[in-house]
Amino acid sequence: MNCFEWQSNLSDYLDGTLAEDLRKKAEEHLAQCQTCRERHDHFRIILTSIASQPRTGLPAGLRKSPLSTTLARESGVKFQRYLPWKQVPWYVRTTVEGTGIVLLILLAISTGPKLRVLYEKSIERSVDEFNETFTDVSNITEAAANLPLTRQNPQISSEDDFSDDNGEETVSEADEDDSESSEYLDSDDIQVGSSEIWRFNLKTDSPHEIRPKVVQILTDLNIPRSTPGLGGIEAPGGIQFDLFVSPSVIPGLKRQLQKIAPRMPAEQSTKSHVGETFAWYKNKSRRKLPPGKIRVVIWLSQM
Amino acid sequence: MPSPAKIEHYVQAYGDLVYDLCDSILWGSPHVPAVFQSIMREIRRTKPKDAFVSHERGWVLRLACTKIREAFHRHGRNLTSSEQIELDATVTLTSRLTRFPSFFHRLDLEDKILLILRDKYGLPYPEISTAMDSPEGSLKVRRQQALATLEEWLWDYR
Repeated sequence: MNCFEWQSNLSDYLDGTLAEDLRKKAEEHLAQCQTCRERHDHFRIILTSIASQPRTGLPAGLRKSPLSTTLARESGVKFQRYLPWKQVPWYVRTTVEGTGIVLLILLAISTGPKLRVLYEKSIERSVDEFNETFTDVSNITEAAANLPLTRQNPQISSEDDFSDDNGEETVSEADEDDSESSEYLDSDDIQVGSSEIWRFNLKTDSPHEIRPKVVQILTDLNIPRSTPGLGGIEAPGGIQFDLFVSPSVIPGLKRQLQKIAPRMPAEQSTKSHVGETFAWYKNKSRRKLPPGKIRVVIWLSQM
Repeated sequence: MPSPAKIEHYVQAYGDLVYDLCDSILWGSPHVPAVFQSIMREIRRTKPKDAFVSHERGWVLRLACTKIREAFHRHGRNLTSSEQIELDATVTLTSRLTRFPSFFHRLDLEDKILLILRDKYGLPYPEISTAMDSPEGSLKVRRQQALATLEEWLWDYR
């Protein structure tokens, strides 16, 4: 018998169930082969170790009543269904759980808007901080860089400006005539103030490139360099100019801004105002401005 | 369905064996009593087939093995990584033999069941074959391979 044959008959040899002639051959092989002899000794040790493992007897409780469900609890098994909460009647449990879920939903609904307000306030705060610390003037001409970025004492809050509830009325849209808007504004049915707010919106790929041009236009229109807001301010989505000017400036300003507005390709130009790169609005507010001044807001928005 | 008297007979005759088999495979898990009870419930609702009349113990062990496999996959304990490292770090045969249970539980589930039934309780191959639903020849080969694996783990430190 060689090593391979001995290993093939190993299981029976260890059990002592090998046939007599084979057993004799296996023993002869073991006497000759040291490797197989070592292996045989190892297996004997392993078998002894397995056989000598402690045996756990059946607990008396289980032996007495093997199917009793209470034994599981006594034996220390923590099944989920035995938790105290699960022992509460289902109608109480579901009521409490349902109420809890409804309360959570109501809480989420009530806190959602508040969180949004807080978020918006934080955005405004960060914009203000940015404007205060804004120093990057690389995209602005030297002249524009020296101009004040924000108006010092705004007399009209931005929320009031955009709110129709505060007596503000939209007068006209892009491409409408001035005469029409004036006629509309002069109607006696509308109870609005006399202060004018002109808004010019320019959509552009690069607000930073347009910015120096706008500054140049404003200075060309004899607006003093010291006018607050002449340099424009960075805002999320674009650049805003917000300043008080003389009413006589408006026609020239509108003309010049229309010139620098990016032109739409011919195939994209339709009758619809959607997609227009330049638009202007004239609003009225009941808030008072400095005498002889109107407010101009130029918005260079990122397209 | 076996009568309550028959159940009692099974518990008296094979209760210790089945319980120790559960305990050995689940390695002292607190779920052992519950698993034993589930085996007994399974025995109560299963009608033994005619082929098993002469192999009553094999039939009981067959149901037990099925339940133990399920329980092992849910509650079975495996060695943690640190335990594995600590186990491999032992360099003397004595210390390795001291940790023999840990090496034993590294084996495959089927190998463990086979070695316990065959070498701890000395059950004959026909009964083990019935219990594990596997041919005798396969069991012998599997046993030899399991022993060789253990030998490799225990004497491989050299």
